[in-house]
Amino acid sequence: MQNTNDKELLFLMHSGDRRAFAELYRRYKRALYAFCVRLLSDAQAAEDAVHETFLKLSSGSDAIAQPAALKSWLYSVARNEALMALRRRRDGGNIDAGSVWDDETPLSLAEKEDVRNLVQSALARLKLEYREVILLREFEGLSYGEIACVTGDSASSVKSRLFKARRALAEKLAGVWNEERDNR
Amino acid sequence: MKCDDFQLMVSTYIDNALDPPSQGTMFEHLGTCSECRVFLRSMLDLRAGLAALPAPEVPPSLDKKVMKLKMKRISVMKGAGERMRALWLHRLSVPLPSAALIALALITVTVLSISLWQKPDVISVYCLPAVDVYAEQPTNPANSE
Repeated sequence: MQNTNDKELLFLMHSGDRRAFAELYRRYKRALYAFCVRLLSDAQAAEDAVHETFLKLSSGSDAIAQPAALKSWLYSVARNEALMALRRRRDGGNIDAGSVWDDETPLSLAEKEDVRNLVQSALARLKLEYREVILLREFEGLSYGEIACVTGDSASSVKSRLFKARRALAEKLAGVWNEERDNR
Repeated sequence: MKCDDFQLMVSTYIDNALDPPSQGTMFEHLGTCSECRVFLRSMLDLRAGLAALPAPEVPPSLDKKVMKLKMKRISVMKGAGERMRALWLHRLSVPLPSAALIALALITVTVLSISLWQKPDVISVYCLPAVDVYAEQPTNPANSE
């Protein structure tokens, strides 16, 4: 099954082959779970979102118009599940449309933590619409076109959002890296 | 163009999505603008910082839950059959004709080998030196009389 491509696995899965479904799960579980955990900062909610994603895949998945775009479809479903979880938690992070950050000073909360934690903390507090494009591009390696399929935007809008998100993160973390360079 | 435009190019460049002419324009600007050089450095730092973050481990409870899911076959079995047929046709489209060609070649070689082995004269026929049929024939003195 490892040499079978996603499209073939979908065909086999639709004809009732459980091994094909298990292989698709094996292929995407880590990436989808990591995406949801980083988006939600909540392991349990991320687990639920990924579970729901594979539930949708197993229950017919007739929404997959193009089997070749399975990867984008999976991220899109996981993202929607995560957004619903965020809405339920009422901390969607879109309250202040003018701000890039979800709260005031991420670094002040984590001043004594190491660089990794500072980066993670800054990322977790980045506004949702910026965080998701950073996650999809930097961690999942999706192209602008694929990210556009997931978020429902145009590729040029994705490019622009990525730029703003990176700039905000880089500005927030500039001091950290300068200090790290000075210490070397 | 403003520095903002060049910095957008830098962001696109680190995604390997900037076309070569724009790359030239960007590097030309970077040669003269320290602010944009600092931005490029911060982008590379950011990428390295994000890459260093550990990936979260998938909890075993998720594996169990997903593996328990019941699968629903696609509603119309006819459609599923057609998909399976298409899948197998796709899978066999290259190996089957290749195997047929190899088999044909093997059969031909085997038949030729057997026929040559059973009729060694065939070899002599094929291997006889060429005879010039138009060459002058030696005359028989008995006939000339």
